[in-house]
Amino acid sequence: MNSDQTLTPQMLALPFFAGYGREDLQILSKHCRPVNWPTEFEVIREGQVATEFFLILDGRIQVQTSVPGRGDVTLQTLVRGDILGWSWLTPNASYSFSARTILPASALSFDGTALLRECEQHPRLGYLLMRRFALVMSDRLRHTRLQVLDLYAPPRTSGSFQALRKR
Amino acid sequence: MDLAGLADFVAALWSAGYRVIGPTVGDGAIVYGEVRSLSDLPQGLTDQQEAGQYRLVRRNDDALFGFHVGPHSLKRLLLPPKERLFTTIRKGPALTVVPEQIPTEKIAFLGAKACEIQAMLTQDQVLLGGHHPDVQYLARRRNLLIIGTSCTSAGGTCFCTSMGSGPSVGEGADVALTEVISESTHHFIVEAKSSRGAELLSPLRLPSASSSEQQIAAQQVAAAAKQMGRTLVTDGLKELIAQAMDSSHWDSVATRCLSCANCTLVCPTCFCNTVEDVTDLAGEHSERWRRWDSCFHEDFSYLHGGAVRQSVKSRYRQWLSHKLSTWIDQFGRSGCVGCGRCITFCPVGIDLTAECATLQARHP
Amino acid sequence: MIALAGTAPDATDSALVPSPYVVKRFVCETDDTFTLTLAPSAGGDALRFAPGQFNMLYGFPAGDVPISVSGPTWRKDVLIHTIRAVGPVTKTLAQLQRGDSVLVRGPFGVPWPIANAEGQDVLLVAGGIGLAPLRPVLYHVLKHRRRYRSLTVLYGARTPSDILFRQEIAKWQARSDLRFEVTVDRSDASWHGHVGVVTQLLDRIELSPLQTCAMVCGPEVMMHFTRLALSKRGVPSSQMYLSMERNMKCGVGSCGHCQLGPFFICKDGPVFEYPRIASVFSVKEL
Repeated sequence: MNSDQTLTPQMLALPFFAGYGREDLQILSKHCRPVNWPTEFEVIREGQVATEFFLILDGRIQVQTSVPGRGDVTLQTLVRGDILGWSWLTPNASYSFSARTILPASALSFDGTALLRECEQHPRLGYLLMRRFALVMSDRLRHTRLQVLDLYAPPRTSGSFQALRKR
Repeated sequence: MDLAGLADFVAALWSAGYRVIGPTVGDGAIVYGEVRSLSDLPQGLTDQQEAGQYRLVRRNDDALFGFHVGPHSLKRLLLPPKERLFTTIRKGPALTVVPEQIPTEKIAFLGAKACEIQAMLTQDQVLLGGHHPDVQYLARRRNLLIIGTSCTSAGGTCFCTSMGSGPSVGEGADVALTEVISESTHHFIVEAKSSRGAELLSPLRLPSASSSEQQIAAQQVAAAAKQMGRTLVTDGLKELIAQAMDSSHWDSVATRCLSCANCTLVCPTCFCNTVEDVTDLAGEHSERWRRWDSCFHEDFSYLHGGAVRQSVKSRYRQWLSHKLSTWIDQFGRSGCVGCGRCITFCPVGIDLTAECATLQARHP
Repeated sequence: MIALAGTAPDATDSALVPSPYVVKRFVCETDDTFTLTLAPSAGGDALRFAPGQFNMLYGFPAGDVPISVSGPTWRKDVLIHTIRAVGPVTKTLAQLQRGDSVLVRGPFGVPWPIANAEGQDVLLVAGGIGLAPLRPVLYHVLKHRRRYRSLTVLYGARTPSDILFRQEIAKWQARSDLRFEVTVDRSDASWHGHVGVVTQLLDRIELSPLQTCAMVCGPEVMMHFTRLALSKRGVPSSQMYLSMERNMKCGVGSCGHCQLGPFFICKDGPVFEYPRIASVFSVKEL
């Protein structure tokens, strides 16, 4: 496959592809393929060997984990332009969470294992790709930290039994 | 005007329907109370003041207004420590609100120092200067006659000259007095400062003061200006404080400050207040009371769940930065008149002028 | 010097004395949030207000609290307030029934810049109960839709069951002349919408930064990160408006409680153009 076929101008306009040279894009396109998923499709499963990552083009995908007693809990929703999966970056890794479509979705699926080999050969591409993923991870971390803050939680009520005993 | 003239003036005020309030002696301090005759005034007494210290001592003359400032200020009269705002009555599901009557009592305050009057004008801006003037305050303020006395000596914690608010009585007074005492004479230079003041003075047919009498009085006031116990360098202070929000100096003050709120209670410009609702047991009658509050109290900044200013450091910083910096943003003038009360009545002697000097030295 | 002359003070003029209102309608929005529709006990029109202004609502006999008006400005007969029951007064208000009385004084504060925003894209970003003070803006823009360009609402709630005005949101989402996105921080199995913080929605929408007027209301930390995300998208800070919160008691700038640096939130705010409060926004314990 070459970039002319796989990567349309609309795809290349996504922030994920910003900053790469022509050669880099050719390598990227060599290792990606378009995928289409129906609703309720399990894209990745927690614990599976992680070899791929996805650039979401359309639809909506839920990142989930299974909590006994609560069922599948959605932690985050991904839409067009978002990246799904970064476990492939680390050796012999498996996916930490599952992902399931909630609306019919399409994406570009990248072969992480092959790309890692290319990155060894082409350090410039490797550097750009790692920077891109660092950004994805820092965004994800910032949003997660805000979620952890639980900003809309009801205010703590003072004067609990424990607090009274400490006085 | 001699002493007999002043006694006549006080009597004339009472017969004109004014309740005369002024300096009296109580609880070992100069406090404000009713003045029926000159004998109620703190004749021959003055106050020795230092950081954390206040003591009445005898003067070597019989001056009536030979004191500086005490724990009371005019805000007690205009914005009382506690006052009812309205009463709510419940009958079935219906509520009826009965507003508090507008106060009508006429008060003449005898012996207001220059800094006191400036402090009153400062509070006027807060309570009357907005879109919603405080009606109770406005009524009291309109019914208040001010007879000021310029200072001829300065106290140990005074710094009115630094703040441009004394020692000479200026705007805001209806009548200004300067007490002049020497071996041969004890009299007052009297000046009408408003038409209301002039009207009250004219029946007394006072002799006009000679130019040498006026000169002597002016010299004594000028001498007081040179005796200030404290100084505050105000140049650039507003900006310095605004930029020093993260200064470690606030931590240092916090190690000493007890957060007791004494400074805000004695401060003649501190206006912060809160309301509380007092209900009868049947739950049919509730009164809303306003009372003085202080930014030093932890619950002052309470916001669903907790206080915004939890540390003593942040509360002292709030008080000082409001007084000397953000007050200027809000009202175009400093919130400090240099009366020194906060220094004198601080139980641990924290001195606002010294804290500012340290800030200025640390952040040149 | 403040002039003392003028008309004699009248006790009934006091901004500190409330007027009785009757509860016409009580709607439970969520487990802890409800909406009151209030009409003057004496009959006649209710207090007039502008979007973003607040009233002091007095739950007898507990006391009063500042609550933004959440209803439309054109309802002249009633005042609508959406309230979260978190403290003693709001919990008293939560127990009201139709026909009960509430005392109201106001309205107070600086409103949202609905006139300045004319001719621009309007972006409302709300977190939690912060949707309530923005709802009058939404009503206004929808009523005068042609005066504005695009209209986008991004709303973050804690969980799906904490979402306010559900039925109304469904109607808004069905319209083509506005975009209304909802996200929750924590989902449950019933939820098929977005999960994640509201700033994440902001990263994903299309916007013309220079023509956007953003109005943000929610917890201070949420507004802080929303502002950062707006800056990143190129929205000038002079086109960002935040609604600040402090302990407002009197509503008229004379009790001192709601001060934030040089501002009295009750009369200089609660709505501020961001550059005005930039220097005090992130000072701790201010």
